[in-house]
Amino acid sequence: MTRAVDDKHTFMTRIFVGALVAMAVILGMTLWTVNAARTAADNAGDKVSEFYLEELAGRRSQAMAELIVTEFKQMERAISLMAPEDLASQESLRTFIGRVETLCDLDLFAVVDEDDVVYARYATYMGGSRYDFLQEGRELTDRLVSTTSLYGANKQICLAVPIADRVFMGKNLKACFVQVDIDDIISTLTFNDEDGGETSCCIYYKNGENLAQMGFGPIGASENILNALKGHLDVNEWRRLQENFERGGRGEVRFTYEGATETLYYAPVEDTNWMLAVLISDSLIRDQIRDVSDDVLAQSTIQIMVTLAVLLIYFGGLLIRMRRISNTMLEEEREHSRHAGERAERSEQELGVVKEIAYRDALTGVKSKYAYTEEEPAIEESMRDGSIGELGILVCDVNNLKYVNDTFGHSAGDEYIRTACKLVCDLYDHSPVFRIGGDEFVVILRGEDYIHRHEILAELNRIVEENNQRGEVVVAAGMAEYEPGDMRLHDVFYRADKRMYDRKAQLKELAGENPRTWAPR
Amino acid sequence: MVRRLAFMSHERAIEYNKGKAQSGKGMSPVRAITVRASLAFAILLALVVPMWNGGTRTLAQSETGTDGAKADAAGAESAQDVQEAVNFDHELDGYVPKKDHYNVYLTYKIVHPWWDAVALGMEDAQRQFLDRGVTVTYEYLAPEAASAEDQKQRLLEAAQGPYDVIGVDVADEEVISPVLDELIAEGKKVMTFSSSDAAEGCKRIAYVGNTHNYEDGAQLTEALCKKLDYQGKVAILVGTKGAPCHEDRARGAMDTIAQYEDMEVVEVEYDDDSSARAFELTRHILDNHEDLAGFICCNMSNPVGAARAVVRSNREVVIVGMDHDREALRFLDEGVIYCLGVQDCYSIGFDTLQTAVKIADGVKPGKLYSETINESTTIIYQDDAKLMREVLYGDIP
Repeated sequence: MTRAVDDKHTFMTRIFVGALVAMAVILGMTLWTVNAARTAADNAGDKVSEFYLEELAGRRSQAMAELIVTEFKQMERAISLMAPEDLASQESLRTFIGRVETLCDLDLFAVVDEDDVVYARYATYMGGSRYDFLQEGRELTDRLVSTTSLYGANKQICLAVPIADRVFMGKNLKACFVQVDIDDIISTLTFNDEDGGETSCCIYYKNGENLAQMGFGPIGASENILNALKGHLDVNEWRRLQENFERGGRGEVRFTYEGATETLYYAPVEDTNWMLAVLISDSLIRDQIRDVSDDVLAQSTIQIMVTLAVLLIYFGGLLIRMRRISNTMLEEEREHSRHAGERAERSEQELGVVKEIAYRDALTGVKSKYAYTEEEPAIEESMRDGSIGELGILVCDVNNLKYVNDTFGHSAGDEYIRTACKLVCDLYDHSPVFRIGGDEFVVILRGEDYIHRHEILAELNRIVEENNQRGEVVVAAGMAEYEPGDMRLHDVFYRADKRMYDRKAQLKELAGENPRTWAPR
Repeated sequence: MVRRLAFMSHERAIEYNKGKAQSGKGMSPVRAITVRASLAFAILLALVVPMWNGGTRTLAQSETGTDGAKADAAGAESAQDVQEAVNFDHELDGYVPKKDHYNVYLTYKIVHPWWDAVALGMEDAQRQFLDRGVTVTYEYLAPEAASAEDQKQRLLEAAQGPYDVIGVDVADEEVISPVLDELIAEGKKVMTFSSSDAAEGCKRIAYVGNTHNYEDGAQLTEALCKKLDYQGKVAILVGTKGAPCHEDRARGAMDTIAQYEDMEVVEVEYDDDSSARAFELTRHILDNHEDLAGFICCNMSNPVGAARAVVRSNREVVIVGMDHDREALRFLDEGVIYCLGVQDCYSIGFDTLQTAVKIADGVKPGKLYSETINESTTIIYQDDAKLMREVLYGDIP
């Protein structure tokens, strides 16, 4: 029983541990998959970032260059369309300029005369101190891109083209120009995503000075980008950046600024000495890709966790169920054992009753012949091993029983036997009395009865002889003692039986030819 | 187009940070509170700081090398004043012009960046008029070299033109004031603007600009004297001879020096509003006076030329001067110039055009505008230079 319980416990432990190992493996694989997926997403983000930046910078640089070229072409076209009547008066010139601004959607278009007087749509003013391209000694012979920094205002890009053969109010017109707010251009080039993230765009001179007044990501508006990045890049990397700026090359550099990793891509703007720079926080694309992958991973993780939870619940339930079954089986076995015990006990009791019935003579109440045969092996065993000690056998036979039965009936015979038995039992009250036949009794003498065997037998004989005379119950008895050499109880019995017959014959002789016999009362 | 650069760059920085915070890890609570507190503080300041109504302001002076606590306190106090030294946030008043088109003629002393700054205020006003459906065209012209005669000629020519109002920054009050009276007598509407008004008694209708040039000169000089511990020889550089603003500042300077026994004005020179000329004059003065302790510069070109010469001479001379020249501000930042009086050119330009429209409509000085519209001058020191450079030019190196 204990072994069986141990086996079940081990079995359940194995199931439990196995389930835990399986779940740990699933969990470990899940985490590994998550990390692998995240790394893959980061790598993908980097590649997309690089591609995106390169494409973005390239397109913006091209857009910037195209914008400049377009402005130049528009100005040249406008001047070619300038008719003499447009130069007839201040008012007609302003009207013409206004028409050009409207048609070409320009913030400021103006013409300049030989005295550097600027004629704009609403104002005529001195340009010599205001525009770099009109600085003293500077001659405009071709398209010119320059900037002007106005007091308190954003830097402006001035795109100027020379004018020939145009006279206004007696003075030669020498140039026309458009003025474009750099910050406005940069604002159009800057990309804002829906989440408020920004891909910064800026224009720098090749010496790193900012053309605009706009900040460039974490780099301040007034900072020289080369100086700003000096402490954030490897020396060689910074030199390469500086060289690329100087020669107008393209490139990419990644740096960490104020804790954020940024990627800068730069490209020259054609026909200028400017560099267009695009900056994107690494996290912008990567975060977005990671957000998507994290969502997917989160869903997968939830699925796996739910699966694990279900498995855990299932195995837990299974374990609990098995424990219950095991306990139930154990309980049943215990119950069964208990019932078996009870049944065995009851059987033994029944057996005892049966034995009691078998051992006891129903008529006289003394031990039966069966009891005598049960007794016999133990006595013989003690004979063989020499532990028998003192033992005597008394064999009794009730005389005249046949006569009583035949004369008075079996009931009277039964009473006759009971009376004889009582006579024996009263005398041998320390020894077992066995009825081994219809009229035969055996007494096994031990203890006091053995010690006083002769006196008791003598008393019995005396009583019997008296009874023999008075017509009472007559019992013939013969006694024998165990003698060394006796191997069986029968040996002793045999001698006692022989003596009983001798006595029986003796009693007959004493009764004579017309003996008085027992009669029921 | 015109804007307050420092504020805008700050706002962009906030926007950038906000964008980054939203796209990625998010803005920390402390940072968010700091940004909100900064914005709230800025709004509060904008609401409670009263409008400056003219005059010369001297910012708390904190010399380089003084104790840190004093310098920090001064910087904190003056930051707001530096921001307000030039007011870029103008809006036309509620006056409704009678016409939908005005033509104004304006002339000034000399082609110089100082008047370009004034021009930007005018352009802002013109755009705002246009937004209200009123077209204001104007000519804003000056000679390459300062000349009262040239200015007189321009005024007389303008009197023949189709202008609603003629305005002038007086190059020489003695020469120009009579011309203005003549024009008024002819029925022309004439005003003065910028840095120099006409002579007292002139019948011009109004003046928009600096009315405290004498005080500006005096205050700059007082700062110099204090710096020199009220002893030593000084030279005065002036711009155009006869230009009221320059002359007034020079007078203010000389009167201030005269108060101190141990101080002496050893030279007074005119650079004709040319920094190159100022440079040469300064070199000569330095050569002639080895013990010279300071320069008082009365216009925009003076301090630039003086600073260049002093740097080249490698001598320690204290320079005080006028205006917002970019190079002068850099010298101020570097400590070569001790202090500068910065005039609110933008406001001068804006108010000039706004007043011109009222004058053109025949509105007399009174409720709608003053006969003298005074604009402020703010004296700034080295600690203020970076912020002023950013405010005006956005170019802190």
